Amino acid sequence: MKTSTKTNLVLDIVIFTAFLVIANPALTGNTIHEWLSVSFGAAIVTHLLFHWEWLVNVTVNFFKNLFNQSRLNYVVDTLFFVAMMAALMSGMMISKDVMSFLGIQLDVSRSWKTIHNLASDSSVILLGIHFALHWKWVVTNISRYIVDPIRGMIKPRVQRPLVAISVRVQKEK
Amino acid sequence: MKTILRILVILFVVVTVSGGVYALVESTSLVSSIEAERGAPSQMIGADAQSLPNHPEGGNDHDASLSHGISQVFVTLAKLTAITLVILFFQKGIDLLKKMKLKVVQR
Repeated sequence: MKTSTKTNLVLDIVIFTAFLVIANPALTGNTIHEWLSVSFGAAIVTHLLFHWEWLVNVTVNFFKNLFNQSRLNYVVDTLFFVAMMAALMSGMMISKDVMSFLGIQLDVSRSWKTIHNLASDSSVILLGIHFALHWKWVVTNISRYIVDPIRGMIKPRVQRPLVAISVRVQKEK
Repeated sequence: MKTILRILVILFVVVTVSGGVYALVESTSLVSSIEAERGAPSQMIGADAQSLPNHPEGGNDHDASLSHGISQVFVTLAKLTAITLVILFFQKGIDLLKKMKLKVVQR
């Protein structure tokens, strides 16, 4: 799936915003927190699809010839994925709204709550690392697609006045 | 077709990871002693059953509060900024070290 940088940036901003909202259930209340987390899973799948080529390339060449940076990115991304899955899974286990909507009642231990908090905190830390490792890409594209257009709207380009240039034409004899 | 196959692969990985986490939690000491005393593993029970056990969480610990929520968002953003800065400084430090090494080798 080939996507433009602009599409990637838009999706990443949406995912980041959703992550911030999900990571703070006090903002939305429990019901929205749970349903947003479920839809967040779909956003993650889309993100992975957008970066499928990179994912396959690094998986195949992980122990072969590969830049150290890519290897580090891969390890961090894998840990981030596992942490988020653990948060999602434990969230399902302690869910009040989603599971009851699906007609499932789970008799689970309290430790899932602890695991949910642990996985969520790990996700925040790993997101910070993920963000830092892609810092150049983020800064370049935010300035290209967001900051520059806004700056252009505030400070419209000064149109240079047309200058008449006199051209001397000599007649051929 | 290609995309559907990829989605299936991703979902397979998701199920495997989630299953792994579940198995790890349920089979290790992470399960609370209360649960162990009860001797009953997690069970799925139909929602229509009348005598369901109370949810372990109980209460509304996630009531929405805009002011509290926004302050929490800023706390998360501050955490993310701090982590990002630490990593960026660390990377800068490594780059500087590499450059210094290069200079020494060139001399």
